[in-house]
Amino acid sequence: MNKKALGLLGFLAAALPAVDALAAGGGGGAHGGGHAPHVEFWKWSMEAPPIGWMVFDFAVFMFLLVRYAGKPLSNYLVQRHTGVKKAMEEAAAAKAEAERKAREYEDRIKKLDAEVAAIKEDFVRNGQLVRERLVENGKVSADRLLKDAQLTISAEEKRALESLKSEAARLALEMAEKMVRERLAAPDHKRMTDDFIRELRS
Amino acid sequence: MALLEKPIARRWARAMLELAEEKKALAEVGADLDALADAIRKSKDLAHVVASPAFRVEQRRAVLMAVADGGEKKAHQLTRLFLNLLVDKGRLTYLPLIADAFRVEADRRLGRVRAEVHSATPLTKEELEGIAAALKEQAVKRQLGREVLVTANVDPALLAGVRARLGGLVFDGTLKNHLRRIGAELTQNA
Repeated sequence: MNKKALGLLGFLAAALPAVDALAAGGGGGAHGGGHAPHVEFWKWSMEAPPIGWMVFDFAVFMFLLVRYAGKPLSNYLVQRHTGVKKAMEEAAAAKAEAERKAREYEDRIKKLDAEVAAIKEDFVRNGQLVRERLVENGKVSADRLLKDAQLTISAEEKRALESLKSEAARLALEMAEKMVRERLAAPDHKRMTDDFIRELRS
Repeated sequence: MALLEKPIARRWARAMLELAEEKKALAEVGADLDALADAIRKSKDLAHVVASPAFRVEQRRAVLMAVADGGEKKAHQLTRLFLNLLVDKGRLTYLPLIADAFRVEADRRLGRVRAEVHSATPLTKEELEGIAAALKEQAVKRQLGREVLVTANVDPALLAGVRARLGGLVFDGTLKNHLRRIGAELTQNA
């Protein structure tokens, strides 16, 4: 770093005489024109700034800059360089990935018609299966309902018949009881009592 | 309380039975207890006197003795002593249950079996004797007992004939039963 700073100071030392010569050359021209340009290197005046001091200030500034901020600046620049390089590489990779995906999507779009056709065929096949199953289930349910209905009808018929029989028997018994009540006489009671005793003894 | 009533009544009945058997007064004491229990069951006033704490012990004793002696003949001495004891011990409310337990046990010891006879019309004395004799034959044959005590009831719903219950057996010779069987056959065969 010191070498660079010395190089810079050397450059400034070489440049100062050139500037001085330029100022002197300019002064000759001015003599020819009747109005001399006023250039100051070291002296302070209100008409012209002291270029020598300005260069010196600049050199001191550069020296301090290089001496104290050179290394961090350099590191920063190196890091910046690495970061930018990495970002560019990542961007390149992302671009490649995007291009690959774009190609993949293009392929898929090309195959989409075939996929749609396959899905449609699958739906149709499934629909037919469901329909067949529903029809089969419906037949089974219908058979079961029919059998249940036949059993219920049969049971109801039987119950109704039993009810009719029982009602007919009840009416017949009522009539018989009524007739018996009307026609029973004392000899009948005695005969039945005797029969009871006889049966009890037998 | 209700669960303990029967065991308590049985214990009193057994004690009374032992005494009555010893004094050879089983039948008399049993008849007295049956008559008293029947009176308590049929008369609300008497049941009230027996159960209500509003009456003093002496009042209860007097009423009960009056009932015991109020029949055709006076109650047996043993019965009177037993009633006094029941009154003193506050167990008078158990009397109907004690009478039931006494009857069952006395019947068992005396070889008696009770029969209920139901007929559509009142039976003549000869008919009742005939039925009693036939039931006795059945009781002996089936080893239910040597003696049958018959109670006769009239039930016009039976139409005609007789129905008898001997212990757990039923002999049904009523017209009502015949008609019922005919009805059952009609229902089955129609």
